[in-house]
Amino acid sequence: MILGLGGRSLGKIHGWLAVAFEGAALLTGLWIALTELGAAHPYHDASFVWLGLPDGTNFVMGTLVSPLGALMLIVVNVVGLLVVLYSNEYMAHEDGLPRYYAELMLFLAAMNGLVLSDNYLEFILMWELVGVCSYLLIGFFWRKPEAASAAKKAFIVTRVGDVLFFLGVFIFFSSLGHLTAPPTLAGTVASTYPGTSCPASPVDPSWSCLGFTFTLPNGNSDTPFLSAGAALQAANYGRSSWLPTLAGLLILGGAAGKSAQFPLHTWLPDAMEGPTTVSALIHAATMVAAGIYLLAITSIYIGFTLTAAVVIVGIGGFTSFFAGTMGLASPDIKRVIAYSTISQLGYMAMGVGASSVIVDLTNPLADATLNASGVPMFHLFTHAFFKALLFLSAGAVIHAVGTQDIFKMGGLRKAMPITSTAMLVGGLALSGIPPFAGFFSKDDVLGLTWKAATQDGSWMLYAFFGFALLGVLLTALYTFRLWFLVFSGASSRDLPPADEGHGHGAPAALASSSASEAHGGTKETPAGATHSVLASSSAPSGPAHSPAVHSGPRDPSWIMSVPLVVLATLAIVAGFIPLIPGFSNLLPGLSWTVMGECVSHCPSGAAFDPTDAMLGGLSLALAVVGILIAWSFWGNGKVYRIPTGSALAVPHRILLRKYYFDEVYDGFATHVILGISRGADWVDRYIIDGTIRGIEEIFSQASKTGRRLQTGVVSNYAAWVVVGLLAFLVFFLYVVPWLVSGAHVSLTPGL
Amino acid sequence: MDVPWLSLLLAVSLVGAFATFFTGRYARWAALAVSLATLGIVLGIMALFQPSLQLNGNACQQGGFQLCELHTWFTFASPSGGFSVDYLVGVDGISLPMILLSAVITLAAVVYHWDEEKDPHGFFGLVLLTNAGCLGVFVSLDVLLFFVFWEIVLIPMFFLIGHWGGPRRSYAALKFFVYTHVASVVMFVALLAMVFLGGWNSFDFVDTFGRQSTNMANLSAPVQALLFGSLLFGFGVKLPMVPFHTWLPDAHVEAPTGGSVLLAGILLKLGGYGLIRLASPLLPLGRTLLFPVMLFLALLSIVWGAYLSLSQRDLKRLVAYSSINHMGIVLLAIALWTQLGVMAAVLLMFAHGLVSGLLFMVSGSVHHTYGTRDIPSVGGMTARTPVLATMLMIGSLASLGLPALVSFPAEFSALLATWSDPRVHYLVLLPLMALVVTAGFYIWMMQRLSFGPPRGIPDKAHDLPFPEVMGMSLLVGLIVLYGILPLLIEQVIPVAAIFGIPCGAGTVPGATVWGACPSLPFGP
Repeated sequence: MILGLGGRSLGKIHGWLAVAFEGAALLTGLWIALTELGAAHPYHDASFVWLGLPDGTNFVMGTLVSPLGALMLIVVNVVGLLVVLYSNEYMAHEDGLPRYYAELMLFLAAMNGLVLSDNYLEFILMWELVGVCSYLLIGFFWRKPEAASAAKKAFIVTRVGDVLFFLGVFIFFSSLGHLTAPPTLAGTVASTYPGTSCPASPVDPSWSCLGFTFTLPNGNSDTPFLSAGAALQAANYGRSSWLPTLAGLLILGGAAGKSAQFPLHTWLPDAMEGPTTVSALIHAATMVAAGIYLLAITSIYIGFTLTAAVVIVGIGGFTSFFAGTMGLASPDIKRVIAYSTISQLGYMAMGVGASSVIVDLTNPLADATLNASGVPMFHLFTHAFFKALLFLSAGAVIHAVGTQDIFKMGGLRKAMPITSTAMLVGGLALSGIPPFAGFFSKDDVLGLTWKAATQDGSWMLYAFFGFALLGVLLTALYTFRLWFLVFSGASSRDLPPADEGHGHGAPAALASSSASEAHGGTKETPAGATHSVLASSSAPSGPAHSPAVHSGPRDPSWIMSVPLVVLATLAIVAGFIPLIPGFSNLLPGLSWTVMGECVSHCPSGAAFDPTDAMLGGLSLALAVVGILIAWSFWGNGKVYRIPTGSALAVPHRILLRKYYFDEVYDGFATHVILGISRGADWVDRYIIDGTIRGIEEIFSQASKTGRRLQTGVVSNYAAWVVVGLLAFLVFFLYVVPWLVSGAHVSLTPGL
Repeated sequence: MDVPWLSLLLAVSLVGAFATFFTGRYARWAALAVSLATLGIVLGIMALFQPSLQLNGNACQQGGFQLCELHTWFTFASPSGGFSVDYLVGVDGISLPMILLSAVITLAAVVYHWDEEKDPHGFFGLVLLTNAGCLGVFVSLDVLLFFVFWEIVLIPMFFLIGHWGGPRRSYAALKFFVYTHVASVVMFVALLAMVFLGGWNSFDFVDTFGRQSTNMANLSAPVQALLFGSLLFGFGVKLPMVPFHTWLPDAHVEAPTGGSVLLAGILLKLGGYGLIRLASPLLPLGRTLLFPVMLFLALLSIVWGAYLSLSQRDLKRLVAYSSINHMGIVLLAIALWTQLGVMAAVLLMFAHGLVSGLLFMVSGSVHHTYGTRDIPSVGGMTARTPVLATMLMIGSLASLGLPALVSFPAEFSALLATWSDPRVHYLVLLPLMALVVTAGFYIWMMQRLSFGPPRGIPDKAHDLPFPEVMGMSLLVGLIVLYGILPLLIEQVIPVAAIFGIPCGAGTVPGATVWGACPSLPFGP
């Protein structure tokens, strides 16, 4: 199994080879997931000792197929396969394809490794590999300064999160003693923690403490992750301690970096500089999903304290609204979708937080089995399909028209029926319109949050819930603004008619197109000159793909269409997947509820829940309102722009500039950090080294008379070294003993 | 133990080094043969090394060393018995990774400089002599022998910088020599003071595991602190430790590539090795008293090194300052003086040797491919010299601690050791934040050098010649190998003859050699 997955990173020579490998990986992944469907316990295998600490702790690299991991395997490999297939056409004109496929496959392999990790150290290892692969892929068009800059930004911003994550893991480690929780291996502790009934080490096969009941999977004493963690943690930290809260928040920091949550969200929109296929992968299945997965498994295996859980809900809820506002203003097709990703990830984070509020680590009466992390993971699952769909559709559009500015598109529906339908499906799913997938999962997350808010009763949770509801409205609004602008209406607005191009672009236009394009990593086909007319205007920079020669925008060939159709199908049916028998194993805590009526996986005694029905109705209504607003402004070929000078112009500009986060961060980096560095450099050169040179100067002045000794011949220096050495010997053999105690002056050298 | 392996190692490396001076135009083949032979013997020693403590035999073996060789060099008669200066060598879990590193780095440097045109016999001879000196330092267990080898290292490096270096080579060479020599004099005075004040009857510090350690315990805390402070200065200059680091950037910038590789790859490790081998175990009271000073200087080095790298324009200076950052982490880990800390320190020295060696090779290649190392004036290397750009990327990613490359387990262990120590604990935030800065300057440097539209002198740009690729590939291979399987090198470290390190819960601190601690890890 490991070999099957690891071997995929070998597939680098050619796209089809990559497809074959990824296909094999998908089959393996599905097989693993199907096995997991029927398994009573997670499969766990500790493979080899990676690093041993001197105190006897071993860091073991093992494999753990947890329910969530199995779910992720499906997501990663389904989306991965489709993206790799799609790449075979989309990336066909690019340089450096072997590198592209190698990085793509390593990316997928790292992500598979991540979801199969059995401890935090292995997790970190894979986590960083995922990060560096995304760095390489975002910077794939490395000739473009924007791409290189975006890659740098992605790496450094996520690195900030990583460092927080490291510290959180250190806290776990020092509090629990182990990253994999093998305390029984050490065999040293047997007593209970003072003042609790908690055993100091896991007891085979199960034990209970503080109201939790814990079972060792497989009866294996080498427990994966920290399944024993919650008890140990609660006991170790003490219930009122702030340390688990801090650890939880640090973990959140790591997840926020990876999953682009406020305030570490800035890298994701810029990451659009990468190829669209990479964007699809990053947004749907790999990079950003890792952060949510981290939150979910931490919530299950360790748990968050109430404070940390509320903060997670807050960050998630706020981000879902905050990112939506920025999506409202962006003119770039990919960036709009990127903001929607940030927003949807906010929902997922909020869901994890809400399930952690319900199963509060510090509440001894909470039932750990009620942890509903399956709910946000369900959203991740459905989101992966419709987000990949949206990106790949956007990629098809960009491929066809050669720009990313939605105000330059329009009326593409007739020319690109498959793409427009696919994107419509994706948009409906994203907006949460039944029966598309997003409706079910998003409603579950909202319902869970509402449940957490009512259970906890804190006004803050209600407020964050409010943000999330507004986010629903915004999502529908910006998604359909995008769709109407791109596809509706009679014909293209700024696009040259299809028969005018014929590859004779105006040289001036070509020259005026951005320098990045002239030197760009994208290899322009001759027909590309036509469309550099578009690029020469203020279109957002991006890989300006050239369309097929002699024709206007049209649907891509089957290589790109098949993934679209498959993903569109999945975006429709993914919401019903929990109805498959056994699937609930992969989604702990999810009950498939439609409008208050529980259909499947219901908790016992479930009845019609009017609150849930109202919530469902409300969010559906908000989504519909959003779509209607979008229609009224941009529907049927209308192009509404915020008039300059109007009352909306100022907020519009703020949104366009992304609330000036980039400016603030860049300013901090360039002025504060670099400024300190330059200042320190000055101190280093002129104060520290200056002192040394001053001493040199004093000596050289003082030794003017002795200059003849400085012959520059090293043998002379060596002679002086020997003389000095002898002097020291004499000093220590005679003088020091005499100084220390008069009795030893009789030391006499022999030989 | 029929074959005197360590003597053979020293003899081959020393004689080979001197012989290479007289081989004329065959110097490179001689150098290759000698460095391969050295590496072969080192690998043989590794194979013979027992992965657990061997405590029978003479004092040296009882001290936890293996492959011991003891010959009396000369003796002083004294009323209280003989006073001997010995040729005493042996290896343990601390020195083994270091001699492996030394042999590997030397081989890589020789291969990298295969096409050296300026006085190749002198160049290769001096490189090999440096290696011989370093190997000698790492295996000698006698204060005088240690010091002799310590001084041997300085001289060839002085010439390497002074003759084969850049435009300001004379200044840099002299600065390097005087600065480090002042440090070694201070160190030597302190070592002699330890021997005489402690009332040893030989210069062997191996014997300290028996009687001499009790002698050391008679020294009062202030005296120990004074001696420890002197040793900290002596070894700290080598490390280098802020604020005694300014010789390093100058020396690196002016040194030839091979010189830089040796300097960063091996010479800096001498300082850390000395602290682990001599200063910390022998002067426990001094160590305890000066712990805050060490801690402060270590954190200062970490932060200072990271921040200064950010504003460097010269690629070599950037790598040099990042070395200060990494060696600061080493100093921090040593200062903790826990098993985990020392293990992390040795591992990190090993890792840093490989990674900085690679990065200095890359810097050298950038210099003679593009004619400058000024980061802003070169760009888009990926377009013209993809192999060089790839090497730069591997080196940078390794240095910033990417998992699956060798620095990651080392840095992870060091940070974990820092966090686990209740005296330090939240101060781990400083090295953690420095990690972000480290990532920042490497990524930014790569963005400017490798990506974007090509800048610099396009006509001169040709990709790496074969020997340089080979030299780098050797290091890259090991960086990846030990990154994926760090246990390969890490498992020997606890077989260490380090005295006075806390064994863990339940044992009296300092009562035994580390390698004899009850719970050795690495079970299945």
